[in-house]
Amino acid sequence: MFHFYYLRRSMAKRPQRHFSLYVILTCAFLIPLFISFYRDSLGYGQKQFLLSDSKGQAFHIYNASEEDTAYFKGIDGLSEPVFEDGTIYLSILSDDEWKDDTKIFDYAEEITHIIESAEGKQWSVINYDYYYAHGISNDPLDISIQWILLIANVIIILISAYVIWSAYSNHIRKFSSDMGIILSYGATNRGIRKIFIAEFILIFLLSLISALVISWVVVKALFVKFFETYSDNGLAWIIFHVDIGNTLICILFLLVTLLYAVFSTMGSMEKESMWTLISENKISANRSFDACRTPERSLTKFWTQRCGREMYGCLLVSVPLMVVFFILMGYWSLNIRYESSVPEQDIILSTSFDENLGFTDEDIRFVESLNGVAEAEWHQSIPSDRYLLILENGEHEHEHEHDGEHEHEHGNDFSITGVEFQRYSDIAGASGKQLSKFEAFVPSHQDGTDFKEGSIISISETVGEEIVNDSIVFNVVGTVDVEGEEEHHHDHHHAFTLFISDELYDTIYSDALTTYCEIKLTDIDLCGEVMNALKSHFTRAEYMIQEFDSQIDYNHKSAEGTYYLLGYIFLAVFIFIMIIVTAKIKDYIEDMGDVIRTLYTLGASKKTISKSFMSQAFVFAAAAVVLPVIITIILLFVLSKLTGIELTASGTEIIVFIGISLLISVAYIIPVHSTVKKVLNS
Amino acid sequence: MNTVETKQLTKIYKQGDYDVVAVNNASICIEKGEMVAIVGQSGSGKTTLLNLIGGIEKPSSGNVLVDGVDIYSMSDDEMAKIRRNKVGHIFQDYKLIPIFTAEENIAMPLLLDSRPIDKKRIKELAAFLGIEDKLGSYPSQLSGGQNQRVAIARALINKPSIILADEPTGNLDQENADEIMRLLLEINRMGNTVLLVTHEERYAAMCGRKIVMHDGSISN
Repeated sequence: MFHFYYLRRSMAKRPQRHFSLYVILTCAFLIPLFISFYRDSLGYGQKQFLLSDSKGQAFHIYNASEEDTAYFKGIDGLSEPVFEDGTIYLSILSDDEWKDDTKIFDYAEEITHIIESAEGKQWSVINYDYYYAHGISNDPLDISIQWILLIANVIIILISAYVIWSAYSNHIRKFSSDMGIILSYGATNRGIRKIFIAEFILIFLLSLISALVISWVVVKALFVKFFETYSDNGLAWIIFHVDIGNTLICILFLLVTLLYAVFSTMGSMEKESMWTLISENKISANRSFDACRTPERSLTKFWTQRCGREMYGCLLVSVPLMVVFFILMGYWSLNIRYESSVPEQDIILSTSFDENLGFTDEDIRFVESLNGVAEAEWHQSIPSDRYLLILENGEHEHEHEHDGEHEHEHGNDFSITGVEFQRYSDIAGASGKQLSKFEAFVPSHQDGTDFKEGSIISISETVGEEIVNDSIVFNVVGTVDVEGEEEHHHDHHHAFTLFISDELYDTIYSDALTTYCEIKLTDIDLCGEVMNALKSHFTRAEYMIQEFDSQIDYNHKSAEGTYYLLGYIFLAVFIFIMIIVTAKIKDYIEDMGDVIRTLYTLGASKKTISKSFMSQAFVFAAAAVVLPVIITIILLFVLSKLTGIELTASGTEIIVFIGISLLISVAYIIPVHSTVKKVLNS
Repeated sequence: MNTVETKQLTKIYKQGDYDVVAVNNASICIEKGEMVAIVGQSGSGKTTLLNLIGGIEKPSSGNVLVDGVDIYSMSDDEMAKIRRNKVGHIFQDYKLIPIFTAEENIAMPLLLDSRPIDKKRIKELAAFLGIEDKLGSYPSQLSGGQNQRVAIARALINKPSIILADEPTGNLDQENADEIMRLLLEINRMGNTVLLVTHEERYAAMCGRKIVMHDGSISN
């Protein structure tokens, strides 16, 4: 068939045209694939962490022996107990029951009853919900990170598709003369489309395979060396992983957006008459020509006015891509500096107050007497459900069966929220209002509530599950804006916050448990010794000991990897830009070949002609450098306002920023210089 | 029946706020076996008229009938078939596909028509045009005169109803130009209809009839 014969011959005789398209598509795929792999790796790491932590079981009973499994046999609804390494494991047989929090609570009660009945045992139990035990994270932070990465990938694919549309227009234009001739000899538009679709599919597949291989090799190497972590010190796990389904969706989205770009470009070409394609008329003649002071300037103005569309097209390619890269670089650099800053403490020791477990005076003495401990700062907490805010949300009607009969229930809906107290003096300082015992401030933004100055809030106090005081009344005397000023508290649940007087705060916390300790060491090298001593003393699973050095070590290691990753991404982006911009500029100047030769014949020197093009090149190169910098600074400023991270840059980062910008200018200047020289010498 | 007939053919180009009337109500008839020259000054609309007849530019109004069929009332596929089988184009700057050899350029209309490559016919045409030893060469390896002969062979390969030659001697030196004109006259003597655009009066005089264009209109 003629059309495929033409395509084969074109690839054999003009391989550089098709190879350029191949390189452009390959570079365009690298960043979306990297983001897809990174997203998969985060998700997989999280899943493996949850599975490793929960072992896929609903209940872990610690400090047990193999003989103790007899106590937990035959519990209706639970699996037979499995013993391993000092722990007994039980799971809930029915998935539906496991997904029901009330059933988990019932089973937990049953196990607690067994534990309490057994004498002389030091058992402790932790339960895991269905999703945790099956590696499915409900953490809003995990879910939002996955969504952010997905949206970022969609945006980057759309930007890539736009850039490729521009490059593809250039690519097809090179064939316009051939296509015009073939059409004049009886080809149809449908036949012409077959040529380009066949070419696109072939190059798409080759580029995709190349990009998949490059991405897999490079990203895996970077992850294994710098980013993967299976730490048991509380760090989130990251394990390199590629999800085939996600990758296929990414590829499909790329294919659809690129096909749109291809078809819209072909559609534009089909609108041209055959004669226009054959004669390749390029100069628009809409504006009058004004002379400038020097011939070079006149010519520069002429190139830009009449024929400079390609140069603007180059800006439309390089500026968005460089903005994306600079934002990535700026954001990651800020993050590295933020997370790599020296912590104020070396070890964190905490306990789960859900189990009503606090550090005793003996524990405190033990920690403070350890060799290597310079300072230990202890914090108290009260359980998040100790004080409750009960709000009426309206009425409800409910039908249910009882003893085989339908019963209709009418009642009120309530929402119950735990209450957290903070000292008003901590945020207001010495000059702040002195509160009386039952006066309080509330945060100006509190989800789900609408308390304002002058409101009355009634809090209930509980012990266990019993309400011991159902009406502690507070007068709201004002609201506070607490963004960026939250003190570190260890109540981990989302609670309603009240800012109260020092007097009442001391009363409430007088019998609070000590649940959290920040330890500063005399010498960081003693960290291992102190950690071991803590682990031998605090053996129960409810105690958590976290070494902050592991976080710092990880940050430093991953920082190096992040810079390599930035280098890899920059290389892909730079090649992408370089090829497209070079092709556009080369075509633009070669198309002016006849005009250049005519001007030379009329008396313009080679130096004048060369200077006129170089002046234009410098102007556009400057724009290519300055525009992304300005746009990036504006966007990073907005980002820093939204996230609260201070916008700063080190000297090294500024130098790298400038260096990269200057490198982009090279993409404009070198092709102009070399192509003008070639045309003038021909 | 006339091989080619145009009825009040008009082509208007929009350039900014202005309309340029390239061809204005042109009505001509070309009979089978005629060799007709279209002459006129630069910008008089000669090439545009030729392109309209050849189906490579769409008219603003009017009809073009080739062998009695209005080509602009046809679908894209039907018009392509007309261009393959009824019309042969020869351009001033040859318009050969640079990645095809001379033989492949000549055979292109056959390939586009999904017909087998008739090597015997290609060789006959090449011999007639004096380029039988150049069939394996690429256009960049041939002289201007040789390239134009390849273009003529390409135009003849499908035995079209009419040959449309747009300034076929424009890019050639005197000797080659005369040779090309001689070949076109020979092709006409063999029974082919030729419509020739030229600004050379002596070449126009060699043709059986002249159509004079002035400012887009036919003035004779």
